[in-house]
Amino acid sequence: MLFTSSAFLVLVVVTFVIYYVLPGKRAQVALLIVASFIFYAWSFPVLLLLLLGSILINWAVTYGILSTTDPRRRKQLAVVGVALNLGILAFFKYSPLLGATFFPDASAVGDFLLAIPLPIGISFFTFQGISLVVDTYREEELKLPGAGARPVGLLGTVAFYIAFFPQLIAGPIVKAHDFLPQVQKKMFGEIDWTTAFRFLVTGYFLKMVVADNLKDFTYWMSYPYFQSLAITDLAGLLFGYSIQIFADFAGYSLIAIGLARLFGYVLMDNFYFPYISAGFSEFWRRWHISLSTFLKEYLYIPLGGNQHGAFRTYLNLMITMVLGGLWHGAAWSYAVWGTYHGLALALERLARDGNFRPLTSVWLRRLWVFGVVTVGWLLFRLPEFSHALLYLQKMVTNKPVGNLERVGMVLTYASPVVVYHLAHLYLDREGKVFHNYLQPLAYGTMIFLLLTNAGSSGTFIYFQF
Amino acid sequence: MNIFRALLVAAVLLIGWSVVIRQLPEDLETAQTLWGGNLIYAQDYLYEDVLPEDVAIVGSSLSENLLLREVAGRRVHRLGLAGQGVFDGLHLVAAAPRRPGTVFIEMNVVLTGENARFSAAVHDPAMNTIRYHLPVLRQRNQPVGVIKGWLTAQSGKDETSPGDLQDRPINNMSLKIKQRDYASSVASDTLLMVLGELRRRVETLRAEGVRIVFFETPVDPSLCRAPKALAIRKGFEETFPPGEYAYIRQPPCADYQTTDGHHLGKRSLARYSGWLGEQMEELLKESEFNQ
Repeated sequence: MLFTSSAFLVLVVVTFVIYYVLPGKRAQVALLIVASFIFYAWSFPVLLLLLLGSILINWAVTYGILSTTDPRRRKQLAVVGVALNLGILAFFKYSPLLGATFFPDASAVGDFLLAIPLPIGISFFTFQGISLVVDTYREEELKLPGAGARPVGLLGTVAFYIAFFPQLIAGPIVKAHDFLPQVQKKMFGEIDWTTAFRFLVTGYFLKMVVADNLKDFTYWMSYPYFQSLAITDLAGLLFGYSIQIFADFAGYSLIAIGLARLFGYVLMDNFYFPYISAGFSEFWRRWHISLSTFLKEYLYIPLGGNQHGAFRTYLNLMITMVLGGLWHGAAWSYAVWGTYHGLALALERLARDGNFRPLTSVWLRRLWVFGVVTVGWLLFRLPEFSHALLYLQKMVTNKPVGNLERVGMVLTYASPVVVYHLAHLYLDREGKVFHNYLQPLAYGTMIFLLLTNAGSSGTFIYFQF
Repeated sequence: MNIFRALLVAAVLLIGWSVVIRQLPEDLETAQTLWGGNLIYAQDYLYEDVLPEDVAIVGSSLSENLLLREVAGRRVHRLGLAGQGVFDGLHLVAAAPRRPGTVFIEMNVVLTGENARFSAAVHDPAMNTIRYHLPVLRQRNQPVGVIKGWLTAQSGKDETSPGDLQDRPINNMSLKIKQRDYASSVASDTLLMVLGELRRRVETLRAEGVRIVFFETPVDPSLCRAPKALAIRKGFEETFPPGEYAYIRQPPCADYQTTDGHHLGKRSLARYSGWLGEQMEELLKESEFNQ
């Protein structure tokens, strides 16, 4: 079910009304679980079986860890839990890649691997499963109230944590130690309406007005169409795609966070004005924060982080980024994309350690980071590596000036994102003028454009991951 | 922040924009993309009062830019949809509250099936009711499209001409791709299935008193008599016998120029539109013209 569909609107309104009438925490949680299952199963009911399987596995492992005090047994169970989650992810997400890579000619095994479908949201809920298992194992970070004594209650908690519909399909990836302590009775009077309103309006605006409109222009970046475009078009569309992918994913995250607020839950910010980053490490502290912090907490630090010398630090960085790249998609181009960012991070670290800073202006550094990141997105738009290279080649060899009207339209739809970032940098957000006039004007204009200028509905880019 | 103030601003902008769009010229071209243009055609058709003597043209982008707004005193509704085919247009004709007297069906791109995403966007009963009563919410009145159209009109560029067809990336693709495509015939079972579905829809319209005419636009001479074109033509004649159905035959392709093998260039489009208009007029005036 899409956040932008009328079916979803009905689901949210009905759930919301019933939610605050219910007498206690358990009933509220049960309602949200049911709503989440409806949300997930809406288009492909059979996928619910996989989600249920994931919930049952994580419940069994979590219950096992909580039921024993033997440290060795706890560790074994945690390893099994992580392995099962990764196994599910690998089977459903990477089988087609393995099939295409190792069984290029028609064979029964290759055909079987290629035919395995990618269930929506699997990358997100398996990571949450890992977080649950690891956090439970780490015990000191997680207190599951009465969990060891009440397996059924624990099952409800696990199901709720993994399936909570605002974040189920495309994040933010919620960590167990952030989410579970919030599970308690929610009161209507405690809703933070202003924050929810701001998140929802901005999120829907970014998705429906910016991303959905840009989508119909960046369509022409597809192979083979882009080959005949002029350099201005190729550059303009690449810029547009960079804005589109931000608006699409940040929009989804903001909607998810706003929805969760309506039900009394605080999800972590997933984007913090990433395109004003003046360095690549800063970019990853601002872009898809929930994934970056997940990889840092559950992969980079367990690998040793930066505690074992320069070589191991760079190696850990590259491993984290390559796996982070592969998490995005089952194609080698995503691994290349991860390597590309890993190299950028490593080189930046190397330059910093060597006191080498060729770009003294912060704006030049911002433009440099934005440019490098934007070129990297090409691998998302054109997952066939040769097509991405051809696109870059055409940006040099094609005729210089093409359809300026198209570029103008792209810039028009990209402009709100530019303003969004600049406003964050320069507006006095504590000022009276901002709160009394600019903010209502901005949100009012966004609502107006949502009603009158939304693009054609499209799925969220990150759904494919 | 005060939520009420934000909602107030939105309401004021909505009312203000409703006033602005009433002052706009009816023929202002506000399409921003091919998809958006298709939505405008569809919504215009669904929300207009279609009269029994009106004429509708359904087809693909080959018919999209035909310069026909009126034929024999009858209004022409253009439902040639870029990147789509006759089935989307026929669905629109069937879904509108009233039927036109005559529907002209393009034969060239008949193999393109109905676009499910387009149907979902266009045939949503709740949204259609809202858009019918609130024109401010229609695709044609999107602020960015209106401003773009207004600026284009001010600059004097002829937006209605197919000049921009030349620039569509898809049309810059080599004619050779189409020649390769047309070099092989169409699988007979595929063609039978498509034409069978077309027949079903045509018969439904005929049962409601709508007259049907098939027409074929000129394309590049190398495609005119290519195996695929011949197979489609033959399939039409077998499914819709010429004695029983009216046809406007494809004029000599050598007399026309295309931008990419399919889409007519500016002058050729004007010429073909004039010729087609005459043919349509004759057909519409013929007293013996019956189904």
